[in-house]
Amino acid sequence: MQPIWSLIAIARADFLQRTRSYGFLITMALTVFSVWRLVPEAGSTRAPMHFGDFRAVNTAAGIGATIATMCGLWLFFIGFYLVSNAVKRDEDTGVGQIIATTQVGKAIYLLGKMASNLAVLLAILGAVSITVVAVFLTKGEGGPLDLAQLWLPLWLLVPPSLVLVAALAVAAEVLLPRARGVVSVGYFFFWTMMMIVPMTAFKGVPINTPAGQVTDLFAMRTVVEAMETDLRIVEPAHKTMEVQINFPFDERVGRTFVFGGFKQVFPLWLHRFVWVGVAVLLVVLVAVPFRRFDPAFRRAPGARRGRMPDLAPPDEEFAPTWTEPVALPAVETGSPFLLVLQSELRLMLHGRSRWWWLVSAGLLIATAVAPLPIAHHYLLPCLWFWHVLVLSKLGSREVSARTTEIVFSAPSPLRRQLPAALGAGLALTLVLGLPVMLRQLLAGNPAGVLGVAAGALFLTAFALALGTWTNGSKAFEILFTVVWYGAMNDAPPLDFAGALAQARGTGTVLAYLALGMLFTALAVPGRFKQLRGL
Amino acid sequence: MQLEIQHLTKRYRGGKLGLGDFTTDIGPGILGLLGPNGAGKSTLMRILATITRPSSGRVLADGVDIAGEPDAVRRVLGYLPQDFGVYPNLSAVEFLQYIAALKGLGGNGTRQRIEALLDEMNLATVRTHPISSFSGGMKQRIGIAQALLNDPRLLILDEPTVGLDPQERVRFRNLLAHLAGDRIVILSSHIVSDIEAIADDIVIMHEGRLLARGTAATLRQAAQGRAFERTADTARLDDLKRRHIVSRVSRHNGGWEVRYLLRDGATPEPGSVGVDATLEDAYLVLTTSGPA
Repeated sequence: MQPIWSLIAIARADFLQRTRSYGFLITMALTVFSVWRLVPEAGSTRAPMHFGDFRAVNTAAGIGATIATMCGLWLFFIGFYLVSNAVKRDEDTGVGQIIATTQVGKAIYLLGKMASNLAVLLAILGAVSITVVAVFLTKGEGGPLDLAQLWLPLWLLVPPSLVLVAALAVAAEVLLPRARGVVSVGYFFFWTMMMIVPMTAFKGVPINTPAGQVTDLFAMRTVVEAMETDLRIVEPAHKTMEVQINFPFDERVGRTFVFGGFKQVFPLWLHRFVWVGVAVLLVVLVAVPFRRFDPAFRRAPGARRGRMPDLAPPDEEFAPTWTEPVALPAVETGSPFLLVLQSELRLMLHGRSRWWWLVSAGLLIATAVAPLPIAHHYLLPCLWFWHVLVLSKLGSREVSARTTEIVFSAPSPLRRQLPAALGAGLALTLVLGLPVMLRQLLAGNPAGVLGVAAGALFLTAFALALGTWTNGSKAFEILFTVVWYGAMNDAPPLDFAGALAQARGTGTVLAYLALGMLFTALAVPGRFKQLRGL
Repeated sequence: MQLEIQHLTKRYRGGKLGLGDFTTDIGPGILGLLGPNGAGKSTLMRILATITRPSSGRVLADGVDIAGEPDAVRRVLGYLPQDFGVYPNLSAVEFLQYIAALKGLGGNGTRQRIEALLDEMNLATVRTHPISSFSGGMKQRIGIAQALLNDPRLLILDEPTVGLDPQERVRFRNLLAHLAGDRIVILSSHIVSDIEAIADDIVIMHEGRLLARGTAATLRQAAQGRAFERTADTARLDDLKRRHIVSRVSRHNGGWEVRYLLRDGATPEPGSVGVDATLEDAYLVLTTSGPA
């Protein structure tokens, strides 16, 4: 029984630590707001989730199904980022080394962390459950308050994927502890893949079978196909999986249909819980390479995996008989801003591998020689995206490296270091955009030049503002990945590089320029907050 | 340079008192801050370093209120925080170059000063190694080096000897003695012997307040005539602990050799021998009994 108690103790302590924070309160508030926003007002002709020209009437079944779909989809995405720091926290605080000296096994420890991750996600699901009742009572468009239809989809369809998220977060922390930025960005693509694969590779598997349930991780097919069955009563021509989810935006719809609810399928859904077994197995497997907070296996930059970096030689020449210190040369002042700018640039780019530089150079050359539309629309955003982990440290590097007290006690931290950090980021993004800017200039397209400049300012300022306000790099890494993905998939509002400026006008370019200026302005109170928070 | 600290109070969120009506003047020389955890040493140092703003009261640096004009102090400040980080990807030289730039230093003179400081801190041989490969003591020495970059007139060192081995501590003490001159050096430590060896002037703090200030010799007076030693069995030892401040216990012929300090109004135990008080005795008497 002792391992079970250990597991519970680890999960409980971690859960309490996480939930007693402003961040968790904000997450809960955002959850409530999102659920509220997802369900259209009674009688509304706009909806975030719709089937062609149709939306479901706000009955208990309609609301339950809509919210379950969105929770399955978005909690798998956002949830990962919310919980993927359980092991890191123990490493950062030193608690991990204390736990490592106890009899708690590696698998039990990691399962405890997985349980804690899951508890956090289920707490969010609990908040959703309460909110949907309030949503039904205020936005409902008919039918009784059927709690089974409101809650069962939420609690039977969503948790299996949350268990997997909880396990994936632990696995990523154990297997890729020094590549958090890469994990943050890479998970977005993993999530996209997990969304697409069941609807393409497994679309031939009937959904109302055990195999159909197991392969439908986000429950998209389960919900959408059930709703479409009822939709075809009023619109027989409706095609399968013709659904649009535009959250947080909504779109105009002309008609409504009544979803009658899920019937006699709840026992079938229990097959989805096979993912719990997969998740547990995954965590048990990653426990094998888990090093149990052994500092000897911390990987320093440039050091080989599994070895401590070479330490400096012991201070043999320290002589206790030493009496007189060496004379220190007098200080000499320089041009402060340029020196700080130069140092900020060095901080941004130092420590990158040869391969990283090679890819950067290759993409930069490609923007100079590829056909201009391709260079501007695809290659430049890719080149900037390649630097996401460089830019994401802006505004938060001082916090993550714990140099705040040293850096912020230097003269004029707001007037000198912050503008220098912005300048360094801007210099980098502009240099990367230079080939495209020059080519657009030679092609007589000033809107294209302005688009690149606006994109450079937007990216840098966005990173800086998020860094100063969140004290971390994760928010920018996630949000920039989403924006970049949208831009690569021709979503006009997300054309942050201004590639479509010539064809569509400069409205978007000016909007990103304005956003760049807004985020620059927001970075100042963000840094002020960091200064006051010391 | 002169610092005037006037009725300085810092109250944290939740009402916890960090510093309470703290008043003193600080002139050139080495001032040591002694006090138990939570005494307010770091709070005081962070306010002097313009990191934290006081809830009330003020600090004047040569007549200028540092809360209103923090750069007046920052230009001449060298500060070593108690718990600080470094940029692990940078080498020692690169990190110092960065901090020098933040402090507005440049030119060949700065490069030479960085090299001299690395030499001084015995880090010259590892000057180009990434800081991530440094031991705790080496990182602490990088921290000390960055504090000295701008030849500060006000040098604030919060627990500077943490992580230093005995030889490094000796070297550091000598460096500070050499540097002191006409500048203000304020340092805190839990190690009474470090403060006693380095500081010209010592402030003992407790629960955010100034308990006593003076040289090591004058502070020792607080415990003069109150330090005694005697042997005791285990039962007697327990009794001594209840009635006095026991500062040292060691095994002696199957019993205990006990050094104890009289609480206010107490009398020595029979068979005790009076001994000279140390600064540590004075510190214990003051922080246990209240203001002298």
